[in-house]
Amino acid sequence: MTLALDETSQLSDDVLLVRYGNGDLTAARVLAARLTPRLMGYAVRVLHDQAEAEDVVQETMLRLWKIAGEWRQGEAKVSTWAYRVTMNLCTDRLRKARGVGMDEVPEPADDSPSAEAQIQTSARVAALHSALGDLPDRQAQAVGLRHLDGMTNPEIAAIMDVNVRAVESLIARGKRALAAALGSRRSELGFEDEQ
Amino acid sequence: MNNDILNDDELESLFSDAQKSQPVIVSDVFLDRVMVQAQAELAVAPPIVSKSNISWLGLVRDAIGGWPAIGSLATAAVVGVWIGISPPSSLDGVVSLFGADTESFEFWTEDFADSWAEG
Repeated sequence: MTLALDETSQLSDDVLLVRYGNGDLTAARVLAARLTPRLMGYAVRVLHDQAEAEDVVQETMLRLWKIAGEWRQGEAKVSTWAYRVTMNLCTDRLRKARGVGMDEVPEPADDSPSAEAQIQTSARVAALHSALGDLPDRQAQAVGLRHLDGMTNPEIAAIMDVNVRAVESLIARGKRALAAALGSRRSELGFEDEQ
Repeated sequence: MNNDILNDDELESLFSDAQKSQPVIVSDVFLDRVMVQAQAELAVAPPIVSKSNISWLGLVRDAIGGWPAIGSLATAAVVGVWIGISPPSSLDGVVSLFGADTESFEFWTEDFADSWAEG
């Protein structure tokens, strides 16, 4: 049975996936609309490339559709599973790209109107992303998931397949490294020197 | 205070800027591509049809209380056989009640047969 879009929108991710497994395409569309923006945000941030990010998210969703028939409700969160696949696909691409020249990271688009504040914000975001890119992969993933994707530590632990204490440690080390890496650019980033 | 290291507030403000400025672009065209794949996968793997794969053994097992009950039954059976084969000396008195020491009673006597035949 296929529910109306409004009713389907109320359902949880795993119910939607099981419904899709039983032939409900409306459920699939709601699930895709719910998951893809978050996955895309992560992939774009990590890969710095919209087209690559789309490939990764599309591959993630394809894998999700393939396992729909075997999905067991309540055993895992669909979003956690999807993030993990996206993260692994991004890591694979980065590893391949590193052999070809990862220094060619495109500058963030900043042809926005001339408002000084926007330029400053763009510079800050670019600096943050650049510093994140210099962190060890696991630290960058943990910090990004926590502070940019707004996930909880247990969610991150499930995605990264480690325990919560390991996540806390990765985040703490990552943030210390970011603070140190960006500290020398304090005035460039618009922060006043502290007395 | 070390000016070469950002403090927590400064770092948080960077994260906040990054969150606000993250344009997540998921176009309808992209979503349509994802849905085309979803449709294709359904065609490859037809909807799950509930199959009648209920076994009689499973039904019996569930009826008597599941695996714990099966385990108890199996234990009781093994112990019973063992006691039958090699009864412990403490049960000698009990075992004799069921064995050779009982008296037989002949119910089908000739007198009874005659009276039965006469109606």
